[in-house]
Amino acid sequence: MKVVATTPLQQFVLGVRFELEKHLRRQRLLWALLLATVIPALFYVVPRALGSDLPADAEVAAANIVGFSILLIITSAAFFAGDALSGELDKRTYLTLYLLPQRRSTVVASKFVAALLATWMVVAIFYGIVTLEGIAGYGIDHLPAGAGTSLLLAMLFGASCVGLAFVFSSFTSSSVISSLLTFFSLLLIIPILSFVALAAKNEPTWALTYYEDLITTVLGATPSFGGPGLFTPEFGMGVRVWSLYAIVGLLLSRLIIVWRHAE
Amino acid sequence: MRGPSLVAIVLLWGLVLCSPGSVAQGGPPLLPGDPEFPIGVAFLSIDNTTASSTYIEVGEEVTLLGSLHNAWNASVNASWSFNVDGQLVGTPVPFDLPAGGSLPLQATWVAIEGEHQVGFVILVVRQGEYIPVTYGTWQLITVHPAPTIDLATPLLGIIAVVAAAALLAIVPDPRLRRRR
Repeated sequence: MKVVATTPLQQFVLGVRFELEKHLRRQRLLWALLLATVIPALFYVVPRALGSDLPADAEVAAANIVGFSILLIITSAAFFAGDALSGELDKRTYLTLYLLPQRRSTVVASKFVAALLATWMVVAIFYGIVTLEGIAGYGIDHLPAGAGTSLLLAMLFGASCVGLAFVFSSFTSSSVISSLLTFFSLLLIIPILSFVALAAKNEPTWALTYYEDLITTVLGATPSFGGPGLFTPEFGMGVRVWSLYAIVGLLLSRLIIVWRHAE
Repeated sequence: MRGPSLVAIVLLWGLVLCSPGSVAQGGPPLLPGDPEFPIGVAFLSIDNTTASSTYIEVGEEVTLLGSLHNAWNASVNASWSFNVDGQLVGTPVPFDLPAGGSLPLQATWVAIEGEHQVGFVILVVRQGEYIPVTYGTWQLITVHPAPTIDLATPLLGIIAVVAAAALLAIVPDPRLRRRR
C-alpha cells in the first residue's frame, strides 16, 4: 500500500502511527501493558490468597496501588522515549530518515506524541485495573472522588518524564545510554538531589519527581507505607512544573536535533 | 447603681476563677512531694495513645484513644483532659479510679492544618485551677490540607503539551548552522 503524506500534519499523523507500530513490533508496548495489568492485579490477588483483608478505606487501598504507577510511568518513559531520537543515530537509520522530504521538527513531534500515547495507554490500563479492583472490593459508590484527578496527574507526570527523556535522547548517540540516563535520573539522581535540598530545608520546587506524591494524595490518602514529608508539594505548582518539563523538553530536544544535524 | 454592679461583676469574676470547672495552665507546676500533690496520681499511667486514622485532613474529626491505669493500692480522684500542642481542649473529665483499675480514654478534636502534638493529661485542682500533673504518650500527627479534586488544571496542562507537539509538527525548522 502506498501512503502519500504531503502536508506536515499528514506527515505528523503518519509518523505517530509508524512509531506506535514500531513500539508494538518491538514488543515494548506489550511488556509495558502486561506490567500495567500484573502490578495492580498482584495487589488484589496476593493479599487475599494469603488470607489478608483489604485495607479498611478504599482510598488507602487505591493509594497503595497507585503509588506504584509512578514506577511504571518512569519505566514507560524510558521504554518509549529513552531511545526515540538516539536510536536513529545508534542504528544509522537517521541517514534515511532525515533525507526524507519532511521537517525534523515534524519527526521529533511525531516521535514525542507516539511516546506520549504509549505511556498514556499504559497509565490508562493501570488505572482501569485499579478501578475494577475498587469496584469489586468496595463497590462503585466507594470509589475515591479524586480518581479522575489522579489519572490526569499521572498522565501529566508521564508527559514530563517523556519530555526529559527526549532531551537525553537528543544529545546522546547511544540508545542504551539515553535510556539509562532517563531511568536513573527519574529514579535516583533527581530524587537524591531533592532529598539533599530537603535536608537543607529547601523545597525542591524544580524537581519533577518531588510532585509524584500528588498522584496519590489527591485520592485522599497516602500509601500506608509512606510518611509525611517536611514540605507538602503544591497542586498548582506541580501541574505547572510537569507541563513545563514536557513542553521545554520537547522544544529543547527539537533544537538539539536540528542543530546536531544542521548542514 | 454603679457600685452594686461593680461589686456583682467582681464577685462573678471571682466565682468563675475559683470554680473547679475553670481551666488555667499558668500556675506553678505541681510536682510529687508538694503537700498538695495527691499521692495516688503519681501511680497513674496513660498508655496506648492512638489516633483514629493515619491520614488526617483539615476539618476531620479526629478521635484519640488511650488507656488510664491506676497502679496504686487505693482509688485515685483526679481529672483527665485532651491536650493539643500544650493546650487543653474541652472540659476536663473527673474520674474516680479504683486500685488496680483501668479506664478507657476517648476524645475528639476537629483537625487544623499542620503538625500537632496530641495526647492525654491528668489534672488536679488546686485553688480552683486545673494543674496538669501526669502526661501520657504524645502523638505527633500531621494534618494534611483537603485533597484537590480539580480536573481542569491537569487537563489544561495535558492540552498544552499536546498543542505544543502539534504546533511543533507544522512549524518550519529553525535555521541553525553548525560551527565547523
